[in-house]
Amino acid sequence: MKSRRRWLLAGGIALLGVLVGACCSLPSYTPSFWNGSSQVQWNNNCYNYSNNKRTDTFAQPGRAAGSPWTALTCPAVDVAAVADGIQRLPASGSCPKKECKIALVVAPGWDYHWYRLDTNGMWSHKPGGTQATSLDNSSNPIASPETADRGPYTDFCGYYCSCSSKEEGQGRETIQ
Amino acid sequence: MKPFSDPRIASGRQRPRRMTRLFPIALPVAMLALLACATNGSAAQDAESGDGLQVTVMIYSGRPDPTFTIDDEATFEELRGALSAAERADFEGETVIPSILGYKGVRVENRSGVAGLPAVFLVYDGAIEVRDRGRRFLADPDRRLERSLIQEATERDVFGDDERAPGIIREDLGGPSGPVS
Repeated sequence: MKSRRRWLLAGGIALLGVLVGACCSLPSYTPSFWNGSSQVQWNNNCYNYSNNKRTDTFAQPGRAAGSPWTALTCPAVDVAAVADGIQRLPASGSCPKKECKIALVVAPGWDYHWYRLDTNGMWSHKPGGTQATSLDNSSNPIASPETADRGPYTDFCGYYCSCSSKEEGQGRETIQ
Repeated sequence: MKPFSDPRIASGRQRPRRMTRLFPIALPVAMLALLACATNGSAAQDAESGDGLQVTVMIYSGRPDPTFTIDDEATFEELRGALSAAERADFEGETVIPSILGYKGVRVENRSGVAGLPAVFLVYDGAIEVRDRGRRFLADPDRRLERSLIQEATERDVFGDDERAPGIIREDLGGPSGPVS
């Protein structure tokens, strides 16, 4: 009887741990995690960084859901990311469950790019296999991805909510 | 049919014990399965590395960058010559590859250990970053090494049906005098 109670208690604690671990939280701007080693830096792109999830696969929107993007337009990348579980920002303008606000931009017909909002209230990003940075193409801090210098990524698509984590690389979204 | 013919199951007393017996086995198995999933991605990447030098033109942010392999001795020799002739340079930043959107340089990885060439070198905007046992910076006057690598990429048609990439690179390299057609 004692042993049964002990196991129930252990199970309860484990369940609580899983539930707490599954909660979304906001990331701080900690580029050293992404820039510290070649393996992490070169194999994780803007989609990995914005979702704060290290996969070492240069993650693509929709690939984890089995329906990767089919065109390099705002609507096509949007559909693929939503298939992965990334949610469009509600009309209220804030993410409902402490998710991290992220933003999608597109260089029409050429490529896409994502930004993320950090706990310091500023935006940061990781252009492909380069280092993560808080600066835009003109070396200015990014107060808004809508007004940042984005080079050829001229189309601003919109904002999304991603279940991130306080720990770098440990975001909760399923991307691949 | 007697649904609860086994008295141990019918009483419901043995079930938790059976589960507790299974728990110490199931937990390590589940952890091993998770570990296998986590390492899958890097294993797949490693399998892609072949002989020779893997060259990546760093131009996209979301899409995978175009890559090609240099595997002929003549080009190895040219690269050895270019790197050994390059003069040491002072470089203030952490890396020569800028964190910008658009074209950002060329990365060359020597995963198969071609003799006389460093493990990695990166080239952009007149500077070469060599990573071997440590890191050092060299000069690339007139972006000669960078232009020749881009020329190689163009000849191998690594940009495929991306008609925009050569123009973006040409603009960065300094106009129509660049080698990208």
